Amino acid sequence: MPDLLKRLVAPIVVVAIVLLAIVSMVLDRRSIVEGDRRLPWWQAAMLEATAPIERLISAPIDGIKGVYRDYVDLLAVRSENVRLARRVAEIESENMQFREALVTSGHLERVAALRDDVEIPMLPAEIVGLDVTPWFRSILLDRGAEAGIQPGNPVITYDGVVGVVTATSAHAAKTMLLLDHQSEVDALVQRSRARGIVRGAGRGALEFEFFVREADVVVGDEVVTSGLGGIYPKGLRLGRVAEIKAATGQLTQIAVVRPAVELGQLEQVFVMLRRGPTMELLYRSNAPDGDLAGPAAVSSPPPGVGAEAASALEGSDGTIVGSADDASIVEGSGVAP
Amino acid sequence: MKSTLAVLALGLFALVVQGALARAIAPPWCPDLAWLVVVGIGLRWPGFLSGFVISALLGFAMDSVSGSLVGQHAVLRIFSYLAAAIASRQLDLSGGIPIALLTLALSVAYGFGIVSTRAIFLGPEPLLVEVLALAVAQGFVHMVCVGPIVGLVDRIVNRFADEELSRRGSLALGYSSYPGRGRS
Repeated sequence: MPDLLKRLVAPIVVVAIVLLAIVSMVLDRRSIVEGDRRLPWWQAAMLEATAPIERLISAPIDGIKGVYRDYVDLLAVRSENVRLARRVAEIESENMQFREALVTSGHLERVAALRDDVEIPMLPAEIVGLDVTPWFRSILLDRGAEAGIQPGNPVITYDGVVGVVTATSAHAAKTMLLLDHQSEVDALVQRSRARGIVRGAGRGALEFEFFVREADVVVGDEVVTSGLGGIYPKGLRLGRVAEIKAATGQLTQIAVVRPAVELGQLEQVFVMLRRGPTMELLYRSNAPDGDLAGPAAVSSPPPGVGAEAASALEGSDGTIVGSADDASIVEGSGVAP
Repeated sequence: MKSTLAVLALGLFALVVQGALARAIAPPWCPDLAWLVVVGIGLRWPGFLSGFVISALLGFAMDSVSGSLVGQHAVLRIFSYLAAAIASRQLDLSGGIPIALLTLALSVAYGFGIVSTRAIFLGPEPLLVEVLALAVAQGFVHMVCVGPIVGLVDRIVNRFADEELSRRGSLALGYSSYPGRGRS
């Protein structure tokens, strides 16, 4: 009998471990569906141990990359300087128009009063690791729950959306990139307001599936978040339409979108720590008879993360932006560029 | 025990290094070093059960830093380990080329395994051609890197073999604890 037990130990251990792994997958799948991504202690411990070591190992890699990039940047700095000076002048001029419009319509004070409510605190975080397999597109950040990051927080850069935090430990956070197959963002075409879902295609591009077959979209259109879906605020830049697929055999039209953010070159990102509690109020005010619709409709929006932005208050650290059609975005203070 | 801890530490170190390395070398051109350690264990590790457990642990560790479902890499690493262990006992894998070819085959199978399990749990997946292209690309990278990693596992096995052989007889499933002896 003891001999039989001894012989059975190995098969039992093998079956138990395989079953454990499969049950883990099922449970994890359920937690994704239910939106609960709290990490078990052993996974949190693993993240805690990994992040600082990866940061340490990344340092020399970043150093070499930084020296090379600085050299390349230096070559183009003069022409870039001239271009930026011209751009600043344009933006200052636009700014004056917006301010004038707001003062004229009497809404400046109300907008300023709302500012504190709608500012979203943003936390800068360093990327310390990337998913090494080509099947998952995720990154590891060096800040976690202790800094206020929670699963579901949007992650952005100056150029646009990066992804969403999926799990956190005390000092690290796993973030799923837009490119991941599981990533889905409710989006719209900035020009025509055609709505749809932007999905990760796993490779370097995104797929924009429109809700209607005859959506008004052309190559070069800017795609932004719609604000629906509960994760991303409205108006964050997702990318630009690079190709429109023929709709033959499909119920809906699909466009290929090139991400606004160079997701392979990321070093630092900003985590939006919450969605502003009064943001929905602002969105509602974008209706044609809304308070902010009038003044903001006077000019074209500036580029950047606030590509949707249609006005800005000069001299404020955080900025509230009114909208043209329904465009609105709130940029947080403190970490803003 | 020392050898088990040493090879586990090697696998975890590889996991951390590859995460940082991926920042400079984008996937699929960045090798999955921790998976290569699992393959190395399958090829060189004398004890079946301990190798199996180490592979599962490294799989769960990978799951905790990757965007995968918890258990996804664990299951596939277990199968990679089993495939490598069976191949090392059934096939003549002497020399670098046979091991490199085995690694390519296992790497492609691993890619399809990931995509299949994800399709089961999370829904539609990309085109077959796309999956094959990515899997083969990373497979070639793994072919290049497998030699040094297997060498490291080999060194750990040999480093502790004499010490542990004096304290322990044959291991579970009848595999000798001394490398190269096969079934006892």
